[in-house]
Amino acid sequence: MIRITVKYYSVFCVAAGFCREEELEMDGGCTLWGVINMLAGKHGENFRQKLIDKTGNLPVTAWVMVNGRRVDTAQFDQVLKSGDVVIFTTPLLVGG
Amino acid sequence: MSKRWFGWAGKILEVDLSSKTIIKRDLPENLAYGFLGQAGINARILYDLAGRGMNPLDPAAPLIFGVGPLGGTMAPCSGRFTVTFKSPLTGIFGDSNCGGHWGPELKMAGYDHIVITGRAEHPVYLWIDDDRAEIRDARHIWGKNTWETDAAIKQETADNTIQVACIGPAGENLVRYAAIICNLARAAARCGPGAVMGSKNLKAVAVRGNRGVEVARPAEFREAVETAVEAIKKDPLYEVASTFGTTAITGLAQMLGFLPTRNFQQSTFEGAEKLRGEVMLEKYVTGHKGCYNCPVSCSRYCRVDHGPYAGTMGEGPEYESTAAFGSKCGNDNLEAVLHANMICNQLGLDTISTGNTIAWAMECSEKQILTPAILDGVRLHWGDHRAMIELVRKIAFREGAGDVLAEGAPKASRKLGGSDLVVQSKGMDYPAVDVRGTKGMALSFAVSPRGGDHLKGLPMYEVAPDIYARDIREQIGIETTPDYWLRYETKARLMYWHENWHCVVDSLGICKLEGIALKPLLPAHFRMLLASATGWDISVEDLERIGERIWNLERMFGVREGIRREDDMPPPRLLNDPITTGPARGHGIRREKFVRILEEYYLLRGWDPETGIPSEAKLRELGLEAAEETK
Repeated sequence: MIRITVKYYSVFCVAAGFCREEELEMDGGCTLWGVINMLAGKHGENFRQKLIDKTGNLPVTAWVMVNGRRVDTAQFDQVLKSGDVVIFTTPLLVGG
Repeated sequence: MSKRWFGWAGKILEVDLSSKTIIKRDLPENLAYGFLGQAGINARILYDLAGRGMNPLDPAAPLIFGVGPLGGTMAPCSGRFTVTFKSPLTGIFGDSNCGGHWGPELKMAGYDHIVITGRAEHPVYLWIDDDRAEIRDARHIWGKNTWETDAAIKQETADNTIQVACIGPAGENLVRYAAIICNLARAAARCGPGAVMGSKNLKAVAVRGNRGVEVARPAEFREAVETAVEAIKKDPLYEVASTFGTTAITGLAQMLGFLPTRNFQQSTFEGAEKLRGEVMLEKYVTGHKGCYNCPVSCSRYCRVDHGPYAGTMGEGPEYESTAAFGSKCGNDNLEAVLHANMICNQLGLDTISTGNTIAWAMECSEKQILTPAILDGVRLHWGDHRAMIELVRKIAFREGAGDVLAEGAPKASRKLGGSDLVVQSKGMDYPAVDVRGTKGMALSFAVSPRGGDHLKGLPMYEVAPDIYARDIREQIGIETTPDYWLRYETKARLMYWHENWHCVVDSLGICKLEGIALKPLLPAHFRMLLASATGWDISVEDLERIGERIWNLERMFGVREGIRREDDMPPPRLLNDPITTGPARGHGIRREKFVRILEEYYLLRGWDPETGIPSEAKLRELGLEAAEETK
């Protein structure tokens, strides 16, 4: 088993029922796809739709970061390890 | 016979408070077709009326309100107006853009601009009721806060639907960053227009407008409006904007590492989690609110029900205000932030400069530059939200230490010390972006004609260009990469384009957040809306040229007051020190690289690289020969 931290920002936070951060216990060898599928089951289909578009890719409105580095769907097969921090967010626009 | 105008109302109201005269003039065609409206025409009028060295608080100093040709029409997000003046904070060009409903009301009363000069013998307010305009006694309102003033004038006019733009105690007491407030929370705040209004003994401008706004080609205009609304609603970030407004930025700025913290000493804040827009939405937001004809409705109403700040309510705060009273002051108490925002609106203060001034005072206190003897016996500490709230009140009333702080950190530091701790440009303190990461914004803030400022050329997508990559390529000719924000290359070109189009947007009367060019409206949208509303078939190229003209005129206002190349450098703290915390750690602005993009920028602008002054040829090309003669 591994323990990872998941953080939710922007509309992902709302879709996750205003959860801002949670620790997850996952099976060893778990990938980002595994995490996303698990979270889609937990937080509902609306959450998955914000992350994966109809073509199976990450929409431009979704950023996924692992330990501070942005990843795209091609890297969703990478195996996570204990202590990893996964962030789901929309892109940042500065100003206001 | 007067020209029949479409889009524009075709009238300027000139008010001299000293002589108590009000004159209605026709809008000159050369102003409309040369400077569009709102910010552009305001700037032209200001340039002609406020000569070199004029005291911004002198009775002769003009205070100009303007609405653009799209203001008050069915164009989306067309609820803006601009107030233009010589800034009492900076001594150079000053303007403030404001939303809500006041601007459209002025247009519907039949005016594009109000030019106010003189000083009334006693407090007054200006009452505009369609054709009728009169100066009314306001002695019984003087001293009231903006919420009380709004209510009092509505009661006096027996009409709860009128629009009131007014000042609070801060404007009356000539706080140099006092705001004009309308709709209780919408603020024309930066650069201190409230102080100019206060110096004229003018408490409010109240408007009732019952006319419509006539457009030239209604069917075509309706189509242009539908196209623009569709573009806004299809914007990839529409859901974020309409859910959070600007408050989504707080958590994301922390995540990427440019959330100014403790007076810009750090760029991440350990208490940021408690300030996030997501927390605000979950715990305090009671409803969403839109300005006139806005399909986004990015603003929110908040209420605090429990604890020491119970009873706090009202619109906002925006991201800027959250950072100003949150991370910049080392404060993680969101309820205190909400309260500070509310009392700034009531007292009539710019939240950005108020928060910055207090953050600067906190650092000076921590470093014993400001002693308790100066601070009314108080030793300020980071995160002391009670002291922060008390200082807001003292600043508005110029009470005790509030008197010197009411001058703003740049001026106060000249008297008290700590100048090197003020993060400012041309006398105006910086908004809530640590620009050591974002090189385009670093250039934008440094060269802004009104001083350290994010609203004159903001490329909001600089850190996330992939969303708009195609438009950036097609419109500006720039290829972006995910790390685009950290790079210096092409930033001169990026800012040149954005500044020109910001001038256009601010002069048409559309909200910056939706019409900020590329997010999501494009120049073609602006052209279509303007052409069908006014009947003026201008090209996109000529429209951008007008933007360039306005930008150069605003620059020339500064040049006339002595602004030169050396004033276009970022403040020392940002230029010398790299970011020390967070994901952007180690990034800074390298002087030699910044100088290179500044010179590239001057070249694009046709400005002298030695002085930063627009060349004679450029001014002639733009039809600004008169400005050339006065520089």
